[in-house]
Order: sequence, then C-alpha cells, then structure tokens
Amino acid sequence: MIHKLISAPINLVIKIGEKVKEEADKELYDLNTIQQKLIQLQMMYELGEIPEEAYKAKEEELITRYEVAKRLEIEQWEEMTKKK
Amino acid sequence: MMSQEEKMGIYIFCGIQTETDDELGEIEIEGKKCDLFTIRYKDAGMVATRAPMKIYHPNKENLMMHQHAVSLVMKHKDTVIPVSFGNVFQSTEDVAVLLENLYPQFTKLFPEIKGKIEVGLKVIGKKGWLESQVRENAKLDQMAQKVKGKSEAASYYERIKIGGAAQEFMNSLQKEVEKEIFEPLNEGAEAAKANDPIGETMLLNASFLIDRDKEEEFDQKVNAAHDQWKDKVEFNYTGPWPAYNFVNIRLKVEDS
Repeated sequence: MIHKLISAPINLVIKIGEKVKEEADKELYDLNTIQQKLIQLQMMYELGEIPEEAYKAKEEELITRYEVAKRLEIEQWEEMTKKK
Repeated sequence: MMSQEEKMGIYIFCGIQTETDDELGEIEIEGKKCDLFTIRYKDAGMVATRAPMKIYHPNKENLMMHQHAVSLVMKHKDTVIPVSFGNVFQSTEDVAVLLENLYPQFTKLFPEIKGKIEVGLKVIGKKGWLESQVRENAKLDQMAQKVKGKSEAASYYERIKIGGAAQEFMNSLQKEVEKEIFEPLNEGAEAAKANDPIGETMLLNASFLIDRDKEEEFDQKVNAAHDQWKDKVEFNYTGPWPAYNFVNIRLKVEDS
C-alpha cells in the first residue's frame, strides 16, 4: 500500500511539472514574446534603466532563444514550399 | 569557397492582391540597396527581395527595414496580408510554391482586409503622475511607510505584500485607461485588440483595425484623447500597418 501513497503524489508532481514545462516552453519559445522582450530590453537600456552589462547578458539569452524559435518556424515555412 | 553568410535567398515581406508585376521601390538591408519585387500566383503576390540567407535578429535596424518595406507596399496597395519578420527562402520557385499553398487562405482574407489598415496605440504612464497616484493611494502609501528604514531581510514579507498591492494598483489604472481611451476608440474601429502591456509603466497596448477612409477621423479621436490625457501619460501611436493583429496565417495547406 505504501507505494501507492508514494506514487500518487509523485505522478501528480510529474503531471504538474509537465504542465509547468509546457507553459514555460510556450513562453520561452514564442517568437512574438521574445521579440517584444527584446524591444522592451532595448527601451530600458536606452532609458538608462539597466546597466550595459546586464543588457548585453539578457540580450544574448533572448537572441539564443529567438534563434531556436525561429528555426522551428522556418521548418514549418519550408514544409509549405513543397508541392502538395 | 563561398561562405554560408554569402548565400543569397529570397526574403518575403507580405502578401498582396495584384494582377501585375508591380514596381514597389527599394529598401536597404545591412547597407545594401535591394529592389522589391513580386512573385505571383493568380491574383495574389508575395512581395520579396534578394537578401543573404540567414537568421535575422529582431534588432531595431532589421525591424525598421521590414517595416519600411511594408510601408512602401501599403502606399501602392490596398490589400496587404502581413508576414512575420525574418523569413528567407532558397529560391523564387520555393516562394511561388509557398504562395500556391497559401492561396486558399489568401482568397478568404482578401475581401476581409481590403481597404483596411491597422494602427497601434501604446499608452505609457508618466513617472511623475504614477508616483503621485501611488502617494494618493492610502493603502500603498501606508505600506511603503511601514518598510521605510527597515532592512530588506527584516521587511521581506512586507515587501512582497507591497509588490502585490502595486500590481493591483497598476491593474486598476490599466482598467481605467481601457474604459476611458480604448473603449471609445473601439467604437470608431472595425475591430480592436488589447494586447498585454510591455513593461511596468505601460497602461495600454492596443491595435485597431480601421477603414482607410476613416483613418483621418480615427487620428482625430486619438488626438482628442491625447489632449485629455497628455499630462498623465505618453501616447505612442503608429501605423498604418497591415493587419498583423487581426490576420493569422496558418502554416499548413488548406483546400481551396
């Protein structure tokens, strides 16, 4: 019986974990979100709200995420260039 | 040997309804002048240019290049379907097949967006006004006074509470702006959308789909709202754009 008591919450944790990951991926790799964040970051830097070092580090992280997301989108576009 | 960076491709900007090979002008990509041209299928066209094949970063310069090309097209054409930033294909033949596959979606969209433009309005709270509003808010002011002089560790939970109350306060300002600015403007639009605000001081991030014929009338409404609010907020009003927020091209083949 004990394993049931243990496994049920673990399953639940895994399920919740999966859901959180799904949401996080959506946020992490959504092109529009990343693009907006980059614009916001640039705005904050130009207004002197964040130092150059922090700006560069965050920009690099967002650009890396952008490249991953864009590659996924390009794959979809390329599918559309095949005769159906 | 040719490096990967030098490989040229076809960058696309937008779809249009057209029966001719239009001359739409030229743009500058990374310092090089490039002609815009149209790749056609039936009464549809894809506006494109030759450009290095790579992932374009959405920095200010590149986004402006994309926007500039779209603006040029919008001067000549009244039915423009937006395409997302940074899509480059191997060849004009690939784009022609893409257009053929998208054509069923395009024919449905053409009558819906003919003669329509999108405009964007961002309303950003002025620092001084936001601060004065916080001071006038008894609950927030009281909470801020409580943590004054205490170390961050000593007032940890109080600071979390302030964060929550500040968010609540910003939400109430956003609702007020929605009621006072967004809703009246919505009455003069074909459609409107309030997107999530960007950053801490933005109170409204809206897009409106309007008739080209009513653009001036709509501008006047925006100006009137600005006159009323200019001491409290900044207006960032842009356009005309194609219907980015009202058209969603699905990247899958559909039957005609």
